[in-house]
Amino acid sequence: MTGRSKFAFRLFVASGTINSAEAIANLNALCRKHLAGRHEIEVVDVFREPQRALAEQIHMTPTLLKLAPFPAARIVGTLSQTRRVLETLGLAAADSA
Amino acid sequence: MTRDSPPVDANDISGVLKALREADLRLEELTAGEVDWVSDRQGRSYLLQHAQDQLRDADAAKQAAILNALPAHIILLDAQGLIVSVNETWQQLAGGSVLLDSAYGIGVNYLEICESVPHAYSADARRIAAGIRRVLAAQTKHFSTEYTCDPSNDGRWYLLTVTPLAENRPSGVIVMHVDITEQKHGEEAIQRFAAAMDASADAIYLVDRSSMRFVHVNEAACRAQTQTRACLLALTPAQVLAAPDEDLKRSYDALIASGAAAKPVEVVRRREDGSKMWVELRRHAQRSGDRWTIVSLVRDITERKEAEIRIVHLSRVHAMLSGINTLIVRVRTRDELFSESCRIATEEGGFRMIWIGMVDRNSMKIIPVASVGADPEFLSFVRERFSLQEGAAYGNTMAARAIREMKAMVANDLETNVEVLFHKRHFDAGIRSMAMFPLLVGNDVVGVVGLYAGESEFFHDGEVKLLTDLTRDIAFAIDHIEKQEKLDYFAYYDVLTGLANRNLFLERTAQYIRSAASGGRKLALYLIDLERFKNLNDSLGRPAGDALLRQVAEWLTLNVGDVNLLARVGADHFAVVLPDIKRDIDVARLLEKTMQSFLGHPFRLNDAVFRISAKVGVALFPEDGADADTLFKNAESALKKAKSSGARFLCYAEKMTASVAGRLNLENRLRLALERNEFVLHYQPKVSLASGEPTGAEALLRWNDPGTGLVPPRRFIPLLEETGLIHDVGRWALKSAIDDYARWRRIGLRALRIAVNVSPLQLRNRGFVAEVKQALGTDAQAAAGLELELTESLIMEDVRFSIASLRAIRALGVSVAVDDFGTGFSSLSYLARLPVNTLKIDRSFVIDMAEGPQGLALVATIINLAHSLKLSVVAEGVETEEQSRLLRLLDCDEMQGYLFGKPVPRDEFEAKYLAGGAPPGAGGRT
Repeated sequence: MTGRSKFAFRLFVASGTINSAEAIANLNALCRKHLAGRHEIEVVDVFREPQRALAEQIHMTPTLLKLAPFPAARIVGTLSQTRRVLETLGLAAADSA
Repeated sequence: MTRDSPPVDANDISGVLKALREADLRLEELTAGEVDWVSDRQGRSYLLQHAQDQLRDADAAKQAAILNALPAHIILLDAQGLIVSVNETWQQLAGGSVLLDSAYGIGVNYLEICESVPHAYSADARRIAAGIRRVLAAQTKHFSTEYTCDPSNDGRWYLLTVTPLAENRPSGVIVMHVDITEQKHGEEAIQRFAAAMDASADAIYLVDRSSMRFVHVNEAACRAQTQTRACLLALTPAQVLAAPDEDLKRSYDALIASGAAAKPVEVVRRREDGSKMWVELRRHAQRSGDRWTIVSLVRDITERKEAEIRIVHLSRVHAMLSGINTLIVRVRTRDELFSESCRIATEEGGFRMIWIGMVDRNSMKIIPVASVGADPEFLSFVRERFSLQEGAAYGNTMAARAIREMKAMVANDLETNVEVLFHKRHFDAGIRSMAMFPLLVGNDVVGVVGLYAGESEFFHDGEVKLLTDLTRDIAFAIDHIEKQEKLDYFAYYDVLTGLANRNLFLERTAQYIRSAASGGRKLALYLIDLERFKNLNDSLGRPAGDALLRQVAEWLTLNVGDVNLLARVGADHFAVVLPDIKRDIDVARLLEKTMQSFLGHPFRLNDAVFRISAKVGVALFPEDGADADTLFKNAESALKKAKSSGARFLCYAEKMTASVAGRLNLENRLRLALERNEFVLHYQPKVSLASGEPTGAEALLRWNDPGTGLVPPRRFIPLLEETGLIHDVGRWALKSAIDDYARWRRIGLRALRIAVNVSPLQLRNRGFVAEVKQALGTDAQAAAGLELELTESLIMEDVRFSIASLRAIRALGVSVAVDDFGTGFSSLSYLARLPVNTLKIDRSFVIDMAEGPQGLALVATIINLAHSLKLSVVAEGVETEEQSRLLRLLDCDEMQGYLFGKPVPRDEFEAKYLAGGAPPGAGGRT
């Protein structure tokens, strides 16, 4: 089961905007609840590092990249719809069970 | 996104804006409002409208929060000076200043407010308005000022700062008023405190205990240290005080711990110019928060202190003045005046040292006569080296100058004035200032007083004036005493002769009696009366009489040797006291001297020679009286008796007169005996033990007194030695013996060698050997007939000298015998070195010899010893056949004694022992 593997996220945000702030807060809450002790989050501010956004083909913020475990996933938005997010991240089964 | 756009008109713009808005809305819809920012594939990005609003709102909120959080009154002005924003502080609290009012709200032109402030504050307000304008116009990036425009008279202070809102372009400013009243008041307090401290004449130092540095010093401190404040503050207290940091810390901590201000202490310091200053130091510790500040106040109390010291000095001088003035009233002698003055100067005046010197005009020197605290070396230097001659070595001393210039000389600080003579010695003795005062009697300087104080700067004008008065008083006393002494002189001296008078003589005699009594000695008092004086005085006139008295006084002084023993006690009476009479004969001795030479002395009066005779009365202590008066009275009564009797002198006790007279008589007769040929030589034979033949003769001196007949030697020989007549008599005896020997040869008698005794006085006489040589004369054979006998004890008195004399005598060909051998404790080592021919064994050994084996052994030892040293041995005092037999057994060489013959006159000796070549007596015995 994937429950024991380490999750790596990269969250692209536009600093100072409310959606981005919400996305950071939601991701943190989600990780605390479902991935306690087995996650890494890198927050990238597209205003400060536009080249990284371009390289990752990020065209909107907030955008969350799940880098590990395989497969990679990409979610745009405030991450407020937790069920959908968990499904996308492959965590819904564990949650429902 | 408008970068590449060409110029557009207003419609275009609104069209674009519309398009953008629509696009934005589309994006919002697409992203369910959850996206803030999008970019196209080329990286061109833009914020969605809602995100932009959020951003703007968030920024404004942040800024507002910051501005509201600041404890300052803040307003934002636009480029025209209109208030566009105010913070909460402004809204709530503004009102402390005419420039600060919550009534000034958004939309009000703040520049106009500033520029229209009326009355008292207009200057500040206009200055501020101008500053704001400059920042608005980007002429400066910043403006700030402190101001108080407080109409409430609370004296509030504000710091106003003006900063532009945008960096590069004029777009309004932030104006901030910060209330700095507290800080300002603190500063003012410090400034007021500093000003107050600077106004203080005391030097004030504030030291922070933890940093050990000055936090503040006042003007007076800077002056005291001759430093600028900045320089002084850069130094540490340890550097300024030249004290170890640790010591200072300790004393500061003690001060803090004590919790009280330290007691003021007085400290002496040296100024940079070397002068002395007194300071009073007060310290206390002051707490501020958790820090301690040490406050030191240093007050220059030199003036007060010097005044105090002056008072102490002056009162000491006054004490000394009153002591010495009391002294002057009662003092009788100069010695007492000087020594007491010195004592008072040191005890009352507190001087370390004083000396008084008298001027000796003859030698141009200073003679120290009294001192306290001066060491003898210094005083003898003054006496021997100081001169009053200007230009001489040590002729320019302070003492010499005080005497020459007749005024006080002062050296007030020996610490700096090192040119003073004996500087080191004085300084080491604790002397710090000194002064010399002349002693003026009339217009003459008779002496000098040197005063030495343990304090520097002692001799100021006041002290010098008082001390000058004092030395004048002492000089006056000297003068007074001198006059008194002259009066005293009349009371104690005979003006005519200068001798003591009766009073003084009695006083002195009383003293001598005390000393004689304690020493167990006798004392003799003589009263002398000049005979015929009254006649002389009458016939030659009184001046001649006076001249005679003076001549007699001189003669007595010369003959007695000590003027203190003499006095003129009446018109023609003189007195003499002999304070140390060892034997009664000494009483006679002076009389003899006086009588003999006084009678013979030619006194010259009116160009004629007179011989004066005198009568003497004698009284002896303790026999004739226990005190001076009694002795004198008894001497007077003895003199009275002598005058009425025919006697030339009389003692108070008749027995004494007889004894003294007897001695005098004997002496005189002995003197005459030599002149009158009353001395004779008797001869006693020495006999060979081996052959029984006479081998020599001992010459023995006899006095054939025509009055009493033959006088035994023990009665007159000691007197000959005491009187020195022994020299003459000894010379006579030597000559007689040599003559007799020559005579025996001449007339064909058996010529026996003659032994002559030599007395100690003769041998000690350095000319003795020459005398012997002279006595031997030109007769070549005379020496062979002469033997000199010296007692063993005489030889041993001065062995080295004896050996030299004996060698010289032996060199003349004269034999030498050691008389009384065995009684003089000769050491054997000396005996071997003595250049003698013969030992004569003392008669006591000869007597003991027959008494027991020990005595015999002793004589045997002496004989053996003598023989081993190649000396011949003569036994003396042989009186029995037994003695003779034993001596023969012991191999003794010669004997002498009654057994063979007593001493007999020459003629008898010649007949008995020398006639016919063989001694008749000797033949009969063997």
